[in-house]
Amino acid sequence: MGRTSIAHRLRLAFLVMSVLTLAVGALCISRMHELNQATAKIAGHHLAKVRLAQTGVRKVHENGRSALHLFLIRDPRTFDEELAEQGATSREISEIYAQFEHLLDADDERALFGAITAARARYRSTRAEAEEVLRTGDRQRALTKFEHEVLPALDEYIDDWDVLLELEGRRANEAAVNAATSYARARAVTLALTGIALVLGMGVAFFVTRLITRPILAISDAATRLQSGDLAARADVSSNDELGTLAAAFNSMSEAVAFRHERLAREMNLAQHIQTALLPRTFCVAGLDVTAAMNPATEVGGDYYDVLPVHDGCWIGIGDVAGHGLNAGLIMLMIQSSVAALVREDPDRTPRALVTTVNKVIFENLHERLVLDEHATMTLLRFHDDGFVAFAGAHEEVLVCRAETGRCEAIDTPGTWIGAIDDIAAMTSDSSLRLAQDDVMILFTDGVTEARNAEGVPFGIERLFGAIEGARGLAVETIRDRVLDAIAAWAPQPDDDVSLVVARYTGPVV
Amino acid sequence: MSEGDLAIRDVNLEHFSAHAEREPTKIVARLRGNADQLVRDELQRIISELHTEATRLGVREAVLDVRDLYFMNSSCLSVIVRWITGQMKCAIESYRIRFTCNANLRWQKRSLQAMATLGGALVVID
Repeated sequence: MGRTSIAHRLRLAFLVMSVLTLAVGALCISRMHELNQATAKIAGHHLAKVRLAQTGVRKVHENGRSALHLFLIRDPRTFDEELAEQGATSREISEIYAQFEHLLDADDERALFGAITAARARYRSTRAEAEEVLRTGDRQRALTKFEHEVLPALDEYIDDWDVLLELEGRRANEAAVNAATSYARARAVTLALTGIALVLGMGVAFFVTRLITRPILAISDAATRLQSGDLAARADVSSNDELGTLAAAFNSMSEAVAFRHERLAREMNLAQHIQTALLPRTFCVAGLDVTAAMNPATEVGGDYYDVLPVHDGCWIGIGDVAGHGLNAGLIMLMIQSSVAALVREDPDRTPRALVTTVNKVIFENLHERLVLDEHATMTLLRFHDDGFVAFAGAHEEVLVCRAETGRCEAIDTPGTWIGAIDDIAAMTSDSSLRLAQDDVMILFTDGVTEARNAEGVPFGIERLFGAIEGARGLAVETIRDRVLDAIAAWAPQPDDDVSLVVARYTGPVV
Repeated sequence: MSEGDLAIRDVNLEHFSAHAEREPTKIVARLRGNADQLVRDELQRIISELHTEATRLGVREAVLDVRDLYFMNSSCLSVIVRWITGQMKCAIESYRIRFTCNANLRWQKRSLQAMATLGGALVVID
């Protein structure tokens, strides 16, 4: 297709429609004008003839009356006046004849007019003879001649006029019928032309609309496919106009989206790999059977847990960086590194001291270097092999399923989050709990209790209690798996990472 | 805009809504439903407008009534934390932040307590 813009197509379509409309209009006006002229001409022609014929008949009647009067008067002076008047009427009739003859255009008219002329001649001849007799003074013989010769000639004369009048009336009627027929034909032609113009206009409009909408629909369809995840979606539009330009821009955008999506997916995979790769793989802690797991959500989350063995027990960390994505993963990595380094340096510091120091590191990194305004929940627990556990930092509750009762306890983790403000020492304190032999301690992130089912109902702490209590006597790995299975059954596609640390105190190390 | 007008636009989504009203000495914003990732930007806007209006009108308290807010994810919680820490950094004392909460909702018990600890005198929990 050539370089024809949409605006140009629309202008062209408008032009075609306008030309069609103007052509139909002009044709109709021309046709109507012709019809009008023909009708006027025919009507005028016939009307003129009828009018002349009527005048002629009237004059003949006047002439007849005048002749009768001429034969009845006795005063010679009056006789001359009447004769003069009759002569004037005869001249008028002669002028009418001349005019009428000029208008004759058909043989039958001419034949009838010839008959009238002949009748007139007879009438005039008989009348002249009667007038001659009257001039001799023989009134009686003149009247007899008038009655028997002049009046019949006059009747014949008038009858011939009537025949012509009838013919002209008939012709006028025929002209009216012809005019009506012509009008009907013109109307039919006008309607037909209007119909053709309408169909052509609709065709042009449909064609132009289709030319414009088809590429738009193709682009829309490609956009829908792209939105639903088909990164190969492209708009199949090859026109060299605005829509072609739009389609080309869309296709470029699709390619860019596909490229970035691929790159993002690679980055996400890498981030997820880093996140899970940093988690501890083996757990070897004196006095504690411990296991853990993290089921990452589709998007990289910021869940953190770690188990760091030390000489008389271990440090356990659990936390969750607010939000998702690379930033959350990065902050989680910083927390893990900071905690691990500080524990290596001094495993005997208090949880409070460790939490406040980690907070300073994270706060500084976030606010002064990365310029990020994030925070994280985090509880650090120091387990001693005699069952004593000290902890600090705000996160989810620590759950302990007591071997003695078989029931779970939820122990608050007071304090505040890390990374939000530079110093949390004043609001952070050490808390503690004591584990008896075979007590099971569970640490979890909010992805566990807030995993929501299709109706939006969260898994909740009560269901978590139920899952733990139902498996309390089993191996820690089995407890972990039972809980994870219960969550997966409740929420097959959780929005957040699900992390769980399960530890059973096996008793004092001898 | 007159002083009586409150320039905080409502939110009416299928699973989250927010509406703010002015009372004599405070502005109360009522949040309902579930504040998940999808409403984070709307929540950010409301908090921003709430802060602007509380400052403009010079009220004593900005109240977040979350009694009918059944869930708030960590991204939305971050919005609130940023608001609080932003106010903590303010040199000029302005308004307090009060949470009207529902003790039966676990996320509130857990998160708002940490928030109150973080905010100190700036944050009040009812």
